[in-house]
Amino acid sequence: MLSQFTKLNAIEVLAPLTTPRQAIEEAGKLLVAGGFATPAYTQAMLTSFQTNGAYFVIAPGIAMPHARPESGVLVNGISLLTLQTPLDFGNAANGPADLIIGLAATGADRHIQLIQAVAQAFSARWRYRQLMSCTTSKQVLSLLETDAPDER
Amino acid sequence: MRVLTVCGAGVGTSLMEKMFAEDILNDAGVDAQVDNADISSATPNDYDVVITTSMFAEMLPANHAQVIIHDNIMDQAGLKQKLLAALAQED
Repeated sequence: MLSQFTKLNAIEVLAPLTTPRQAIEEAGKLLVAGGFATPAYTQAMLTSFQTNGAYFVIAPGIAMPHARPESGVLVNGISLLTLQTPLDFGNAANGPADLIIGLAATGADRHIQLIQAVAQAFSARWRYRQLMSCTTSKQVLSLLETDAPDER
Repeated sequence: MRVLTVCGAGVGTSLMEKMFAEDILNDAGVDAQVDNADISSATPNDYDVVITTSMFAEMLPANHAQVIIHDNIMDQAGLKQKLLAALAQED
């Protein structure tokens, strides 16, 4: 389950942010707060956004900014940030996003488990909607403590 | 059958896509090897099929692989459809 890869202080709900850069910066700050990455990693995520664009909007509404492991990842983990208003990162296919998953991946074996857990948690569309309805970080964390049924 | 998934950093999106592709190919009983890579080190000519997003598809070096464009990474049903169609082309 995904809850093992995050912490209460790496979660923030309904942030009143207005630009994609702010959202990436906030997701990065939360990764630092959770002890998953250094502040340099936030900068690397912003650079990747500039260089590679918004491919990290992985599904409608869901953005998963990340950078290379060597850019400042300390421990495998994610931050979770929901926004008051969806922001347009520039991904024409998937549209604006209001669920931001900051991803810190070490590139080691355990990192595969992390990606699997993220994929499992958000494959079911209702998990996204449920998460967006949370009004506290605690609600988000407890939601991630239950595995989503495999709908495949 | 060799399949490559491509993204920007090579550690997040392409790995997720690789897992989904492996599941689909296993379920279909296809003997395939699936690798993932970042756009700067991807070698599509070593593969039969490449799965990537619209933007990276344009950035891929010239190649002979079948390129599948898949932007909603979480849409496994959509990927299955595209991947099985590409397999049919290979046969």
